[in-house]
Amino acid sequence: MNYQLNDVNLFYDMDKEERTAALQDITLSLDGKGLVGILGPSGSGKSSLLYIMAGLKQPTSGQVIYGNREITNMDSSILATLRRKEFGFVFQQHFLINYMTVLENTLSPLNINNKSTRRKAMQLLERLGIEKYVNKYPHQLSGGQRQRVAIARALMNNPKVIFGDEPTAALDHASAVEVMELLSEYTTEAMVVIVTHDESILEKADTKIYIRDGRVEEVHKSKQRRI
Amino acid sequence: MRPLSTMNYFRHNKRKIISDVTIIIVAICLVYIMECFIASITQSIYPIDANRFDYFSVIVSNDTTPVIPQNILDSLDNSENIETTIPVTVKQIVFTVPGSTTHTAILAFDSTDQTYVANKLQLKVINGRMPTIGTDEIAIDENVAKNNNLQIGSQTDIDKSYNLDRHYTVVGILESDSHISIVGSPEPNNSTLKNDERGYLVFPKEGHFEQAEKEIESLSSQGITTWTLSLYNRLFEKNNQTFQILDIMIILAIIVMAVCLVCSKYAQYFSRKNEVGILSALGYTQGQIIKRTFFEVVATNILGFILGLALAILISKLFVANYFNSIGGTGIYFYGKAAVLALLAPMITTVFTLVPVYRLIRRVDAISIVESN
Repeated sequence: MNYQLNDVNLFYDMDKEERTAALQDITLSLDGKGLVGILGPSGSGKSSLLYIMAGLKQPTSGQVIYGNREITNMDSSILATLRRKEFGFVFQQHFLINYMTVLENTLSPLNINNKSTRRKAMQLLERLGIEKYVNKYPHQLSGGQRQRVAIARALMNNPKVIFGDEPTAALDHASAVEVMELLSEYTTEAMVVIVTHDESILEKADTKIYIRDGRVEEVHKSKQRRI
Repeated sequence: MRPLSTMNYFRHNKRKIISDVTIIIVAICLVYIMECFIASITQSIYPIDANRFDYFSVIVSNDTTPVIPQNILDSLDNSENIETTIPVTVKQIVFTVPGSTTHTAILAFDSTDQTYVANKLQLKVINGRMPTIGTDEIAIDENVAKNNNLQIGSQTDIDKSYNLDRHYTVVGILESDSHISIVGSPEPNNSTLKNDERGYLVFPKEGHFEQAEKEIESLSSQGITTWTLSLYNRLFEKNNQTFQILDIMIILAIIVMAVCLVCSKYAQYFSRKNEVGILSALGYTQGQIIKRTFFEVVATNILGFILGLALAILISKLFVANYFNSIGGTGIYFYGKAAVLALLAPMITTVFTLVPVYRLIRRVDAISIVESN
């Protein structure tokens, strides 16, 4: 799925004399599947860029075109439906619903609990190695296990784009590597966009976007694209 | 079961739901039982006091007019609205239910009139017999007997403030819609009667009830004490205003309870801001999230209402109705007005929970939730 960002700006404090620029003049073109890394130091605007791409934030100006649809001026409920059907999210914190079991959390994007969805959820949980925790609650799991459940939830609706906002930040290095391995597996099926300040987890990235002070410094595309 | 369904939320949050539902059940029980209690008071007192006026009106002499003038009696006897007038001795016996006390009629007649009245009022002797004229015997209404704990062979207490100046021996228990009791003495022509004990029952002709009442009420301008159904109903309504104040207090209590519950519910939803934020990020629209909340709140209140109403009816039947019935009153446990008032509790709670929670959900921004963690 293609992404096109045209001259995207994001300013805060628009009503004050001195505006804060989170993103400035971002023009990007991303296409197809693969792993896209957005890198930069803290406060550089990388998360803002991800949220704008995901339709969770509206830019102050500019266009974001996803496929052939401009999502910048899309009605909020249509945009929400688009997120639910085509996007998957993994955040720095797991954001699982604490009173639901692992299985129910995994099913929550579809909100359907039948034989077929349960089978699919179980397959995902097996693939992520946490099938034995299916009836556990988030507070009964380790940080890495919770993040795996969050990944299973993000994959449940067969997303075309998976957004990860520092998905490994709260994990130890071994768990972080594992999580990235898991996400990398889906780059053959979807575009996986990962925001991080830790470049070491993006060794397999097809595209790396370097951001500093809200501007794109460099876009690095690997020569050999994985299929 | 859908993961985001109301049932699934209830299944995983049993304690919270039980706590919320319990508050509603308690509120509904309090309101319903209080209303049934009040209704039982009025429904116990009214028939004992008022039903006899469905059959006849009463005119009684008093200190201003110690003897009812003959011309008035003649005009009543000749009226096209009046069937007959019957001389009567009027005494009273106490009838008490929790929260209210009244004095109901004990009447004495001449022997021929006693038979006429018994037939006219369809008095049924369910135990014992009618009193012998000239004796201190009483055939007492079954409700009044229960209320005063009287059986065949027992004696009434003396209550001089209401002209009950002698002990009457119970010889019969009467069942009738009019709830009157009959004594054998003193007869209406007895010279020892006080002014306010002497009077006439005035029976209207069939189909002339209202005209007869107007005619009788007009006699009060001639210094005669009159009692008609309309007059009694006006007095009853006036006394009932006390109970209307109680209704207002009940509604205020419901509002206070609802405010407490609403605060607690709002705190619950405030603590679920993260859940709202993440559902929003996952692609649920505000409408879908609000709808989900709506079902949770409504289902909690409906559950509370159904269980509360069932429990309230059961308690009202077991305690209020049984107690009032045991003392000769009318115990109420199915009461529409109480159910409507009880419905106010979940309705107020629903509305006043949904409005702030709706505003809370609209204010929640997925990104601010994600970034704040």
